Amino acid sequence: MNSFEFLAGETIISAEGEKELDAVIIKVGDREYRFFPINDNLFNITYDGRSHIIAAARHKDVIYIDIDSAVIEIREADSVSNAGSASTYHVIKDKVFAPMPGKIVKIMVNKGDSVAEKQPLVIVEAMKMENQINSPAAGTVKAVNFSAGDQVNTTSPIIELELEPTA
Amino acid sequence: MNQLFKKILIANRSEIAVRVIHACRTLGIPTVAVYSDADIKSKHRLLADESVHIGAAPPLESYLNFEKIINAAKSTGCDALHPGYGFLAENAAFAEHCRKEKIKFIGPSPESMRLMGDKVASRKAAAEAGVPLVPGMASTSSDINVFAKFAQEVGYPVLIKASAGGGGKGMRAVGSEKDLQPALEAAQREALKAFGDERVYLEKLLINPRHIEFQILADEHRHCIHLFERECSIQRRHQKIIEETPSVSLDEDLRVRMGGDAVKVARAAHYTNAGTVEFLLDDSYNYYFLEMNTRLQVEHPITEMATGIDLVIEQIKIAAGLPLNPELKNAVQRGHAMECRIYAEDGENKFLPSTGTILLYHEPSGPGIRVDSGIMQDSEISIDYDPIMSKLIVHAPDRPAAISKMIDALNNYKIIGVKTSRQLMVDILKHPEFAAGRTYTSFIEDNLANRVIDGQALQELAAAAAGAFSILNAGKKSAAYDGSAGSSSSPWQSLGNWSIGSSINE
Repeated sequence: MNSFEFLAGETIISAEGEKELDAVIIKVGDREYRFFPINDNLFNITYDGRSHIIAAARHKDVIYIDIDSAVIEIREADSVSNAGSASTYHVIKDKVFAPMPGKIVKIMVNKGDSVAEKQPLVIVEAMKMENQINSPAAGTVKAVNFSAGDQVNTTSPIIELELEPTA
Repeated sequence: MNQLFKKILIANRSEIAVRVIHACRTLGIPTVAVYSDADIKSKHRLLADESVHIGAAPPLESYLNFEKIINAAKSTGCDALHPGYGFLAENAAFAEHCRKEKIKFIGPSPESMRLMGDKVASRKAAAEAGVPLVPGMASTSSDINVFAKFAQEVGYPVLIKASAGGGGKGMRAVGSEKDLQPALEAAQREALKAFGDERVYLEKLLINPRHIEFQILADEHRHCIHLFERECSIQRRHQKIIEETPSVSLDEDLRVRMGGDAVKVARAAHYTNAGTVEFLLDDSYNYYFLEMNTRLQVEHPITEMATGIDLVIEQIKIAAGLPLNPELKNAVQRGHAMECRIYAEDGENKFLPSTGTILLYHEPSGPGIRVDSGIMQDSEISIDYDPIMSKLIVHAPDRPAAISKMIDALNNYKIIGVKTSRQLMVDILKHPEFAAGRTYTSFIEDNLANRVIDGQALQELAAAAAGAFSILNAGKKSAAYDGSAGSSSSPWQSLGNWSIGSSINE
């Protein structure tokens, strides 16, 4: 099983997946995506009941994904914080956003709590599914900006962290 | 058939050069490409039978340089030259130069080009042929009183246009009399700078017109026909991006009248070869002659798809002195054809030009789908030239089927490395106003100005795809991981004409 943390826009998306005989299965939260490779850069996937071709190519630390007629830029969250241009993105790691607009079901931490990397922080309900958001890094909870029942978008941080200094 | 020419030089680059090479190959005529420093690794160079380097990237040092192009033609033994469109295609001095050097210019005579290139002269020729014009001045003037009087007569808003004009330069819309003087002065300054000719005149500004043009073919034996219309109303920054034929706004009677008038304009110009007569059509179905383009048009493929006639092959036959095949008179419009222009520009941000390397390129394919492309994997899109990379053309039994096929083809056209307007074009094609055929030149501003792109919706799927991509390419630091080469075993690679990893020689 491979685990990933990707940055799409300002959203951190955690995914894990593995290669099976004829497909690559990727899980994001409760959702499962089944990609059938055509070659190293093209995949087929069925979603919304329709077959789609997706193209992917990497340039430096960005993976470009062409879905339908749109191209979406995906960065590896790790590479972002380690890269030379880290300062631009590092700020994201200390903020926790909803992966898509939705309603907060539960907040599992309080201000002042110390949290470990990948510790569950919040559950957000969107598109009738619950999404658990894990801590992007180890640190201390600096602020909790919403409560259960609140509607959230993807651009206002739900939780802000004070990161542990990294060596 | 005897070979029409010994060898043809294509004085152009990218997708139109590739298009002309295809026609020459069909006719069995060898081809010579010319290329600049920026096009060393280009598709048109690779596809041609021979190629000649003609200089640095700036057009004046290569694709606009008379001497270098003529020398390339002479040194390779070419007896004809196809100019494509843009660059030297409408340059009468260049056509004259070719004539002097005994290299056949595949296009109209320099005399026709001069007449139709001058807006005031071409309006006069059309008026004498009895073709309706946009109401306006019959000659240029520099007297503000002449402009004010005319504007009063035809009513505001009006449009000041450069006689030598084109491309929106030296053009100013004026809403009321108080704005007339500064607009006139600005238009004169701009015209002088762009064309070295400050002469301007005034026309009534039509509100929300449709842009309808007719394809003309004329041989050197006084035969002249039209091959129906193209509607090119979907524009951004006064440039067409989606074209279709037939137009939803013409009935048979109007089509016959406009087509007949297009032929009259061409005859008045003693026109030969392929050309296009442009009209504006107002909402009361009055049409007005706008201008004649003395070249092959970017959007010519939709006429080819609907009529089954290869316009570039016809151009070459005409230039070789053959009379038009009488069968061409029986041409009909079959089904519906549509073209989307694929520019290297940011459709989500004011159509700003986008440059870079094509990291991944995959063309859609299937019945009725044609891609006229000048790019491949690894192509460099530079700032030196027009940002058009390719054209996606579809043909289907009717308009709804053509729209549906085009949306599907756009969704399966994969271009990574530079930004394009594919998503915007899908949104236009899906718009109910487009489906209803209400296509006017202001369509994008009227219907999509406040368009919001839901970037969130696909983010998770994109991230999942990035995961799949990473797993499949784990440990590879090879070119494939950078998207710069494809593996060779995929069925997808053999489907398209020019898909990844396929040989350049088809």
